[in-house]
Amino acid sequence: MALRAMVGVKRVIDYAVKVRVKPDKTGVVTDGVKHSMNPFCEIAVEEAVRLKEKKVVSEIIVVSCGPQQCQETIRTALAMGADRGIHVDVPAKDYERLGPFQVSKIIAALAKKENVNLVLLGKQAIDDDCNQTGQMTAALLDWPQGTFASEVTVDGESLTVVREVDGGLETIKVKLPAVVTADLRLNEPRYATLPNIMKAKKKKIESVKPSDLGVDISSRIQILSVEDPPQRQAGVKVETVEDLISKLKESGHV
Amino acid sequence: MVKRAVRKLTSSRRARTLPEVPGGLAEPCAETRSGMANPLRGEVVKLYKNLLFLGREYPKGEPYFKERLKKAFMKNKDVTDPEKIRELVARGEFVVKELEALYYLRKYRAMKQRYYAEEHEP
Repeated sequence: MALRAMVGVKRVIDYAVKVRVKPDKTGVVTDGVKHSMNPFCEIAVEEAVRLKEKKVVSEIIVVSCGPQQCQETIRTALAMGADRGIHVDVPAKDYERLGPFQVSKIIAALAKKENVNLVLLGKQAIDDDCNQTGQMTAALLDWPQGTFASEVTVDGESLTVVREVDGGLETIKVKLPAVVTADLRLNEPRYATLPNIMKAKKKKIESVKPSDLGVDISSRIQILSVEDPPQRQAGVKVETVEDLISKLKESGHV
Repeated sequence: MVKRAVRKLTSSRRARTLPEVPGGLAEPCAETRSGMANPLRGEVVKLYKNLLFLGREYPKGEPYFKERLKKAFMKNKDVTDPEKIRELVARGEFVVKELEALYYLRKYRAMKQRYYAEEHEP
């Protein structure tokens, strides 16, 4: 049985960029900052493409929610080997308040609409670090989930997923359709090369609105403040062992 | 190919150094100007464009990469021997693979450091 896979990708601030917090503490500076695909989403896309190369998956649909620029992220996924894209258009103003709950509702609605039987997502995004979208999508669809996957094999009507758990690995078997979230060691994502990006321009990206899917994207969360992590305190140099001991005693370490 | 390059990068100390910009590739301008289009011209241009694209992410910055890339190509602009051009293009392709491997490793390491800090390498 050939599977139809849907992969969710998120456009985030590039991992190599130093993130700055807005002076009014409402969020981080995103204007004029380099963005790229979330690294965990890349791993999810790669896994879908590999499953397609093994002829296990017949079609890969890429989904991204957000403003117009998300189409670039979808394009990257198409260049890696996905077949077509769906851009869920959320204006920049609303996007600031779009959380994992709203995204999972959108993905669940699309998964039903497109009649897919495998949803692949990154385990978390490197911007908000929520790690919730996969789990909530599975719950909304009432499908089994294989989270933090470091190995995925399809056998007939079920999936064997090796999961990264604290201090080891757990192997589970889930029935299809299922939701899988990718961990870092699942695979090595390929590079979206220039010729492939050019070829991907011929692939279709459909644009839909959350309201077309009957999804309410109003947020129930209010961001109170966003702050930088505390700065590391400068160390002190000590001349002698006695000094060291007295300093340690002062700070209550001995 | 990429996998091999990755392994090579991880296993050797070169992992910490950046792959050098290609040592020079041919652009047979002389022939094209005189009207005899070299069949390898397209390949060389494609390679140059490809490298330019990859250079956008170069850790030392795009201008640094661009300058060296151009210099490397210009150095061999007078090469006309097709055998030699092919050899140089192959060297360029190798650099492409090295760069892709470098970018992958850099990202992988950053992720590992940020999200798996408590684990130690065996």
